[in-house]
Amino acid sequence: MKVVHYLNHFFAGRGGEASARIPPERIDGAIGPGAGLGLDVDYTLMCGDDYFAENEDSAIEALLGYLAEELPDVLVCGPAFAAGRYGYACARLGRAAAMADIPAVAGMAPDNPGVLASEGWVYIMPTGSTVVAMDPALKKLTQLATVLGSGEQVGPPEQAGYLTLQRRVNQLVAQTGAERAIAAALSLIGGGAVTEIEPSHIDFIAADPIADVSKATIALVTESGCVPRGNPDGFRTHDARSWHRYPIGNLERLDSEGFEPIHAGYDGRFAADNPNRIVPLDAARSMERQGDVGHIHDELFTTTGNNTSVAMAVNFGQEIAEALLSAGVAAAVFTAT
Amino acid sequence: MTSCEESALTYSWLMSEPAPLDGNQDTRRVPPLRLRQWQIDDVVEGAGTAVDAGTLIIDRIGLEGALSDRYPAVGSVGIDLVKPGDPVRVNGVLDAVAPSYKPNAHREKRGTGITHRLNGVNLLSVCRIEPDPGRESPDGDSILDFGGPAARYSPFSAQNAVIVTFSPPKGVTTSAAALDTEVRDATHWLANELVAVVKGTPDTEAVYRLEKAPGKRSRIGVVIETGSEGPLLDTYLEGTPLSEVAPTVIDPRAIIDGALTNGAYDYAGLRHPTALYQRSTLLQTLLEGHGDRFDFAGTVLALAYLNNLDDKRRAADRAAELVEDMHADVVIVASFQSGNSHSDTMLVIDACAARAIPAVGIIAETGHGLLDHSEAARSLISAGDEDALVPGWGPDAIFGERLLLDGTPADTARPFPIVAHLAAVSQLGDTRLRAVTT
Repeated sequence: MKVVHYLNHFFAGRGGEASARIPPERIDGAIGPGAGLGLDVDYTLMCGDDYFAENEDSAIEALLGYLAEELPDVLVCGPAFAAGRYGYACARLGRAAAMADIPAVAGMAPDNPGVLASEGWVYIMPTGSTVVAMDPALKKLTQLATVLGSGEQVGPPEQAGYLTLQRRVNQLVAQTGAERAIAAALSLIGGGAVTEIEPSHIDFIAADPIADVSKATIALVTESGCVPRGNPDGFRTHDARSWHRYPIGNLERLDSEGFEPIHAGYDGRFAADNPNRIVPLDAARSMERQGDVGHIHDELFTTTGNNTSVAMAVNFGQEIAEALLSAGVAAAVFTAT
Repeated sequence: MTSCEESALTYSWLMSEPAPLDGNQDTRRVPPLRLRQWQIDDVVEGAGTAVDAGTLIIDRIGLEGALSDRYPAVGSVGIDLVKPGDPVRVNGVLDAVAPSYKPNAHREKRGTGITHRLNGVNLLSVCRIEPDPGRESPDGDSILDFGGPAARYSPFSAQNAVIVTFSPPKGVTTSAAALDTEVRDATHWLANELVAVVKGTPDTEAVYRLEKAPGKRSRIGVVIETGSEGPLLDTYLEGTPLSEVAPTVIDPRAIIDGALTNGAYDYAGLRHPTALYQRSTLLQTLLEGHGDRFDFAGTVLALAYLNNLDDKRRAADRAAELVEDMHADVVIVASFQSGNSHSDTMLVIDACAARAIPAVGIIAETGHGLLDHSEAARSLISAGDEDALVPGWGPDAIFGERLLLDGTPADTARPFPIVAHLAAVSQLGDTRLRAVTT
């Protein structure tokens, strides 16, 4: 059985965040956690998490290219635990491999955004949230990879232990959408509801109220794509692959010479003229001076919420929340477009 | 009659009066719409434009010259002909228009009287229009494959095509709106000319009436959501941007008769090209079934992509109010584009539910499902998953723009998401695509 293992830059031993932009590479044999898989790993693929996130299409193309040179029987990705970018990369590579008829299994925590991003194409084995759970995670991956790679029938989720796969695929049917809609309309009148799309599950989470806002540090967070003029970090106008934080601690307000909107989802002329329309720093400062809030956090957290995938947005939200908590921020004003 | 001609009509002629309180529909003496159609099985180049025994003959050089002369802002014009199955890709498609002509336009308003139409052929306009400074280009490549795996998805791949490529002169300052108006006017003029030459007996005549028929039947209303966000992202009702008039009731026969023109060029797969309004399967099926299986209560044009939640709620409430005024027992809501328009669709469904009018939504999914949902949305028809990849295919020839938006050659064999293929995930209900769970 030919096995290929995918790791990110960190688990491949290439370093921390500074190495997150390493492009895809192929390494002979097993490295890092791959040695603990209990499988004969032919070669390992590696990519920096940030590189993958910011260059998904070309990263996948390169990685699929390696796979095509020596086709494996199964691709094992991760485990990524709770690492959002790593889980996303595992899921998207696994999805692309599965679409190319290479069975793929990935390990990650059940709330990792990669679960969504796999779109049902990858067998996701649930793991713990941290590397402490490495041993049981590797055992699970090995078990399912062995079944997949040998061509055996995979059992149902409750037996084989993977998260339930829900994949939506396109199909041509006999009737047009119009014919089906009219039939559904007549059915509704008769009391029966015919639906082809089940409701999406959307979590609504209520945070605890702040005890004393006048003492709290409040951060400004936005998906309006408000960035320093010149777009130094190359934000995309849609399908964002990154978020950034920019210093605003010494500013009373944003001005059009210092900031601009990078976003294709709304008419940016008014925001370009006065960026406080999308990030209300002027109003926030006023409240700070008046003592209505304790302090405005000295960084702006920004991304572009236009056609950005839900999985990617979940990833951003988790990372931004961690950064806010580390900075002692009690609440955020989030401006959406 | 084309949209470019001086018209004595104002859009108010097109609006149905609200149904009288007794529920009778359209008791006025309104002439029916008689759609006389000639089936076109082939398109060829010839000495003079004509229709002969199912063949549309195009005087290519004559028409190219006429277009350039009448509409100088569009620059040079190239006309190409494509048949279903040809190994051809058309790149940079703006709109598809069904060739139509009203021989009595001077005295018959749209939606009534006689209209001549060619079936089996569409006019495809191609032009790269640069957005005005400070505005973004519409998103996404716009391709139409007549061969290969994507050909089965777009309703236009199965029909003949007359492709008109406009190449505006460089260095000339023309606003995007002005150039787009010229391109649309030129396209509709040509769509008119192709049919004006038709003589003889049509192959079929469909007669659309909306008078109240005896007996009681369930009344089905329709809400068509559209976008009207400004130049290159607009929809026009008799030349007026819909943002100035919607939500509004409109006689569905007027839509079939060409009252709506597409000028919204985002995401080709989700686009409502003009021809989909003209040939609307949903509206034609409801009109044909009117007075038999059900009554067609009427049509509301509503706006999606309004800028804030208050505007969205107000527009949804007004659309639902209009649906209620037409005494609909149930409404079909056709969504538009994607993303935050999922919220618009759900708000309309909610507003109708608040008036005890259940709704069916026709909606395209992203790879992750819908981006909004409502408890009232118990009946949704899938138009397909817009993010699904279609296997790659390299055409033998490219018509239209040579390069994709990212600057790479358009004859690439790489896979595209289905949303790049013109009208492949149309939410007007014309395709046979749906997404299923595996």
